[in-house]
Amino acid sequence: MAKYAVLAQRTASSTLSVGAVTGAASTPRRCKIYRLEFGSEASPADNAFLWQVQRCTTAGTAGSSVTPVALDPADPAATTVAGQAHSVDPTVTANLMLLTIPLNQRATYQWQPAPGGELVLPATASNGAAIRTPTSSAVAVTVTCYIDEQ
Amino acid sequence: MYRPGGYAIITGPAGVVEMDTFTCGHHGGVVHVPAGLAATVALEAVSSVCFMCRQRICHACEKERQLTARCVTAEQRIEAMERVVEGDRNRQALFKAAGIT
Repeated sequence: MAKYAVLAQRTASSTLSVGAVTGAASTPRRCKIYRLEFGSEASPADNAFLWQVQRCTTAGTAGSSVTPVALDPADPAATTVAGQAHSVDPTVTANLMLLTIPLNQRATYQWQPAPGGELVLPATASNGAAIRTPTSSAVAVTVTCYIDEQ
Repeated sequence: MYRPGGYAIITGPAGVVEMDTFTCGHHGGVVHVPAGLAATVALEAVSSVCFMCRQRICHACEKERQLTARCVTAEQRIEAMERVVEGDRNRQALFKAAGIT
């Protein structure tokens, strides 16, 4: 079990996805999201955001891929794939919302589960979680997601 | 909340809001427990306990359980997702071996 940090950023792109964490195409492994941090690094303004973490069945088309950073440098590279600044949103699964929280742009959100309360992503190729702001896409936002690969 | 499943913090210009969370035992998502209410009231406002798996679940999953009379835990859902794709992969391999594309 190795832990990784994924930093995804969307800089005013036209899609609603900030980032996605999905299983690898060939050798997917289960992973658990055990910490999340959302926020906006744009100039302070009163915009309303609805942040959502939703299960997805495709990885979409990421503007750039994100390499999960091993928290222990001795750990191998992650098999889990991450992307940011999508030009095509991941295909999200209706009614499988893992987390939803409305926030003002000036607010920062942190979530930390107790052991056993993590968000579990299946060991399935291209399946995982999309982190989105469906109410606003024109503001630069960042999410830091910590994952534990099984 | 007694034995919370997690903790959420919202930091904004108006101050800091902290609240307990729990992970729904059926759909596997995070549910926020409103802060500032009595622990039992807040819990009842957002959750139930499934009498079959004895896990805390959200209201949407409780409604589904009442309608279908079935208890499907988050782990069972994840395993089902993994099985479906594995089945597709096996089927595709079978078609490929048979020369059907």
